[in-house]
This record gives sequence, C-alpha cells and structure tokens, in this order.
Amino acid sequence: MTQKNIREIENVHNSMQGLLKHVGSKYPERKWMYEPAAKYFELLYEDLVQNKPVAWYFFLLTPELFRAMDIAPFSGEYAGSVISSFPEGIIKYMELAEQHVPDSLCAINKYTLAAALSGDFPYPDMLIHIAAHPCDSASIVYPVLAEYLGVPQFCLDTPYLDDEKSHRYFASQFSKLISFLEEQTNQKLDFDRLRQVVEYSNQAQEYVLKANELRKEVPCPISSRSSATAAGAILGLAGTPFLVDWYKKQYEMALERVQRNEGALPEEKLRVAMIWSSTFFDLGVLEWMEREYGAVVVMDLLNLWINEPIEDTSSLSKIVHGLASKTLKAPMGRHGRGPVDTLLEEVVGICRDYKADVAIFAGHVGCKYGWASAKLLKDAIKEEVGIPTLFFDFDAYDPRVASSETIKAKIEQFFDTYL
Amino acid sequence: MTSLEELSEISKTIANPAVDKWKAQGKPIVGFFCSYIPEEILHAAGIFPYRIKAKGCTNTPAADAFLAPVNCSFVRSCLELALEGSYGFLDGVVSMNSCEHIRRLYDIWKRKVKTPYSHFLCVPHKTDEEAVNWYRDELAIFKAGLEKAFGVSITEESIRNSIAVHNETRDLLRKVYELRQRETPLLTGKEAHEIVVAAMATPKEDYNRLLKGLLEEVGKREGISAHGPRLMVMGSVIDDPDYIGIIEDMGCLVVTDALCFGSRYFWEPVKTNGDLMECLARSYLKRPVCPRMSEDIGQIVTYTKEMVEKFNIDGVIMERIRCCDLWGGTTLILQKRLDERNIPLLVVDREYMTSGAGQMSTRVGAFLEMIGRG
Repeated sequence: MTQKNIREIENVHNSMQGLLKHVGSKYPERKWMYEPAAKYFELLYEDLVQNKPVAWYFFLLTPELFRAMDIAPFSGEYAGSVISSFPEGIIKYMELAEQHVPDSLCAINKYTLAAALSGDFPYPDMLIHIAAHPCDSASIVYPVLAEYLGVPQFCLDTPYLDDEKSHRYFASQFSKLISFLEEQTNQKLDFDRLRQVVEYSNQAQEYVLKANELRKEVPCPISSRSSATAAGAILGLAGTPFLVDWYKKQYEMALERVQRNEGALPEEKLRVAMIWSSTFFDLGVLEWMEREYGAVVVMDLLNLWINEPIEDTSSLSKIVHGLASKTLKAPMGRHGRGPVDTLLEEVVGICRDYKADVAIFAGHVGCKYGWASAKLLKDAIKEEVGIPTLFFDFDAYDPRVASSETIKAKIEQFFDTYL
Repeated sequence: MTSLEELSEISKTIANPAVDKWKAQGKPIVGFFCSYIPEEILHAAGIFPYRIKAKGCTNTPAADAFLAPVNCSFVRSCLELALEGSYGFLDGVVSMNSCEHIRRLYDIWKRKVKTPYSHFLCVPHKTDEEAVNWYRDELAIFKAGLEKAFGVSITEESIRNSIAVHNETRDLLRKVYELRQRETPLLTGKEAHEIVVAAMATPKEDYNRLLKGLLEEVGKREGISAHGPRLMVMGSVIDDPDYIGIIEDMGCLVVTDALCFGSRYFWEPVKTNGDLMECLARSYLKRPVCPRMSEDIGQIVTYTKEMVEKFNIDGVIMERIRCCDLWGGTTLILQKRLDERNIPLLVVDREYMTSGAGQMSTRVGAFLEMIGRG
C-alpha cells in the first residue's frame, strides 16, 4: 500500500480539534454538538496514519463493515457536509467539479468527485456505491470516478420496493460486498469483530429511536442544531463506541428535560417539521429560528432512522441481512428509491405525530426527486394535517445558490404571516 | 406515399393512423417509458406497445404544477401531454426505475392521469446472473399482471413469436443503419431517426412491412456525397427527429448514434437459447447500456468507440437534457476516453423542446469548424 496524501484530512482534523477547544472554552454546553464531526476526522486521520486501505463510500451505506475490517472509511458526502460549514466552505471544489460535469448535479456528489480529482484527499483503494439510492447524482459519481481513476468498484444494486424479496436481493449484494472487501484487502472478515461493531451500532440505534420518541414531547427537549448533528453522526460513525456514548448523552439530556417539563428552548412557540433538507452550510439558520421565533425543529426527514437494532447477531447471515436492511431503510434512500407513497406517509406522520405547527420544505436544488414530490407533499400535508408548508429552493451545501440571509428572509416572511 | 414518408409522418405526432386503426378494432394500447421494458411481452398479450414521447410539446404549464425546473424537461413534457389528454388512447402505462425523474413521473401519472392499467418494473442496475434472475422474476410478475388485467393468456408460443417479430425489426433496422455506414450514406440522420422513432409508435408487423418497403425504396437512391463531417449523437433521450435536423442543417451528416430512440433500441437481438423469460431478461439487461446501469458505465465508452470506428465518425455530439445527472456525470469519463483517442467531442446542454435551436446551431457550427471540415 503506497502512502496516501493525508494533508487535507490532517488540516480538517486539526481545524475540528481547534473548534472543539474554542467552543469548549466559550460555550461549554454546546461543545458536545461538534464532537461527532471531530471524532469522524480524528478516526479517519488515525486510520490514514496507520496506512490502512481507503474505501470511498456513499454515506447511506453506514460504515460498520469498514470499521470491522480495518478499512479507512471516507465518505465525501459526510466530509463535505461538515466542511461546507467552514468559512471557506466547499466552493473551490464545486468550481473544480463543474469543469467536468454539469452544475445541476447534487453539490455533495460534486464535492466527492472534485475531492478525488483534486488530489487533496487520500486516493481511494476502492469505491463502494449504491445504485438509485436515492438519486441519479449519487448513482453516477462513483462509477464514473472508478472508471476515471481505474480503481476497483462495487455497486450495491437496490430494488424499488421494500418487501422481503427486495431485502433478500439486497442482502445478497451485501454478502458479495464482503467478498469484494476481503479480496481488496487480502484478509478474511473477522466475525467476532464485526459482531462487536454491530453491537455498538445496535446500542446507538436504540438511543436514536428513543430520542426520536422524546422529540414528540411538548415542549421538544432536543434543539434544532443537535438534531441536525445527530442526523449526520450515524452516517460517519456507526459501529463506534463513541457514537453509543454520544447518542446516550443526547437521549439522557432530553429525558431529563422531559422529566423537568422543560424544552430545549426557554419558550417554545412554534414546532417545525423539516420535511426535506437542512441548511448544512450554516446550521446557524436553525439557531436563528429558535432565537427570533421560538421555533424548534421537532423532527426532520434526515433523522428518521426507523430500523430496529439487529435483533440476532449470532450468525453472519443475520448480521448481513440486518445491515442490508438498515441501508435500504436509511432516510433519504428509502424516500427517493421507491414509490412516493413512503415519503408522503412518513412526512404526514412527522407533521402529525410530532405535533408540528408548520412544515418547511427546504428544497435542496440537487434533490430532483424531492422537488418532483413537492406538490404531492404539499397537498398531503394540507389535506391530512392542515398545517401550512413553506417551500424554498436553495443548496444545502453551497451558499452561492441562496445565502443564509436570503433563506432567513424567506422563513421570516413565512413565520410573520403564520404568526 | 412512400414508406419513408409514411414512417416520417408517424414520427411527427403522438397519435397516428396506426393508433386510430388499432383502437377502432377495439384492441388495447399500453404506453411504456423506457427501452429496458420488453415490448415482446405486451405484444404477446395482443397489446400494441407504444413508447411514450413528448413530440409536439412546446410548453409545460400544467406539468409545472407537479414538477420543478430542476426536473427533466422531457419528463415534464410527457406529463404535460398526458395531463392535456394527448395520451387518452392508452389503456395502460408501464414504467420502471430508469432515473429519479421517471420514477416520480410514474407516481404523478398514476394519481393524476389515471390510465386504467399501470405497472412498474424494477429493473436491476447490474447485469450479473443474480440481476438477470431478478429481472426474469419481475418479467414473470409483469406477464401475470397483464394476463389478469387484460383477460388474456400469454403462452410460450406467443412470446416466441413476439421475440421473432421484434428480432426481425432489429435486423431490419440494422440494415437501415448499414446504409449509413457507406461513404455516401443513403439516408440523412434525421430520416434515420424518424424511422427508429416510428418503430415504437407502430404495431410491429405493420412496421416491419414498412421497413422492408423502405429498404427497397432507399436502396435505389443515390448516396449523399456532398456532406460535411460524419457525426455521432449520443446522450439524453431524443424523440424528436427535428433535433437531428438542426444539427445537420449546419453542414454535417449524423450517421449513427447511441440513443435509446436510436441504435441502443435495436442493436442486439434477443437470443432464444433457453427459458424465454430469462432470455428476455438477459438480452434487455446486457444490450448497449445507458448510464442508469451503475456498474457498467465503461460499456458506454466501449460502445461509443465501436460506433466511431464502424461508422467512420469525425466527431461525437453528446447532448444532455438539463438536470439529467446520469448523462451529465457520464461526461467525465466519456471526455477523458475520447480525448485519449483524439476523437472530438462536443458536449451540449439543452432543454427537451427545440426552441433553443439557435444556440445549438452556433455550438455545432463552432464544433464543425474545430474539427476542420465544416
């Protein structure tokens, strides 16, 4: 294995550690919200220093297998979503990608593509991707990169539906993925190690489900930013003991608030369902909503992890089936891959079960399937829940499309009208 | 009217005399959305398979209520025509997971157009044996659903016959394309495109008869000797021959393509060496691919290079409908591989409607100058 270029990862790792120190000294109560991203880059940096093989993977395939096989998991989507919130953002990578592909591709997939073309990031030893889960942009970037770079690839083919037959088909793809990883790394999967990783993943998942239940409480015990952070953490860190502790902490803080009949905000005035994306390049927009309007995000689509922990970890086939199921049921993936009915039912469910006063469809311009669902969503929410929905277009990672101020102005106008 | 004129007329409209005649006989027509859907199964059920297109759509006000500017303008245009009733002659619609735009179009179509029969095929994105088996099972479900919905029995014999009829179409279309391989092609690119588009809007027996007539007629033509560079067109869906005409008006000749309303529709026959449903599944999955086939992107380059050599191509035009990310992303590898072979490539972004023809002409003109023969 040749030594990788780890300069950029080292830079991001150092920046995240610096941010943790800064927040820890100035706003200690907020430090925990920055920890998952910092931990992701810390672990990745350590893996790279040890010269482990690097798999670039699409982030809805959560990284348990890689963590169990000593493979450094690099997800351009996860890394890009974190880096997009840095002052310099990801614009230079957008500009690089747009020299080769249309600007209409999803920004986070363009980031992955440009990260590879730039040479700033560790060169992949393999690329793992998922077809049509959820979108074309994600589907196309990995295979063209594999061809362009001449790197081995594995595609997990997704079925359209979510029935048992489809899960069996997908689980079989997962088994083949393990063989592929074994071949690429010249090692056999250590079952006991995988089981340990999956146990961690299970424990974290239990807290995710319990925390999501608590968010139904009035007032909502979890803040908008921690909610947005939680949505991403599972994608980068599933299978680590860190994530168990982190979700446990989030859950326990929320539980204490519920027991004290307190919410995350001093005064909750408006319960917001984020029914599409979020302002990842500036999560401060969510905090502004809290400050200015007492509006808390009670649930967002990207946090809607619904899979139960893998009940039986006694055999490889059961674990494989469980991990495959987790990937198929990943939010966004299951909302885009199959019929729109799943999306409509779940969005209506979010609005109703989480007692939302308003819904916001923050329409990431890269999500074509999302925009093609917008009218159906609007009608379903109006008919079945009867709350208003704000629709606006923006790029979740690229402020060139709509700046924070532009987004705030749209929200302001909507809230002012509603309130 | 010559066979070519008849085929040309069919390509110009949504409904056509063949549609009217079929409906007058009380027989069903089912629309389908993508060239990965085997027409043979519909044909074997006594149904006229009609490939849904958007020719003639100039604006999309009704569709825009459901689809946004970031959605493919071909898909928006198809929906527009359906909402305004142009597809009222359909007794059913079959779609598949071609791309995210088509997936959502089906959702909206089912709710708002309400064609009596509808079915969605889950087509794998890979071509290995497991994928073939999956698709075979999907086709069996599709067949059973058709039998129930239309009260027919689809026998092995009827499928075998349908495959034979469609293979004859493929064979005849290859002969049409061979006429374009010559140094002095016997057809313009626009004419050839009209011929292929008509294949998906005519009952196959009638179409094959027309094609035989056409081959006889065209065989007597003088070849086109005064033409500019020989071009190949590939990329997003083109169902409008006028688009090819706009390119050729700049002083070149389109002699082949890698389009789903083009060579990729018919290039390989369905082999009948085993279980017929499996044969269909295998043939349809393994034919020249579009970028929805995630693991086989490299095959697009291989097919392009084969076409370039076979048809003695001077340059390739890759057109991408805006927000077609599958073809958009493919540009990266296509550009690199064609550059390596010094094959000139023009990449053009466009909307489905041909209203942006002026810009297209300018780009093509500059491209022809660049390749030095315009």
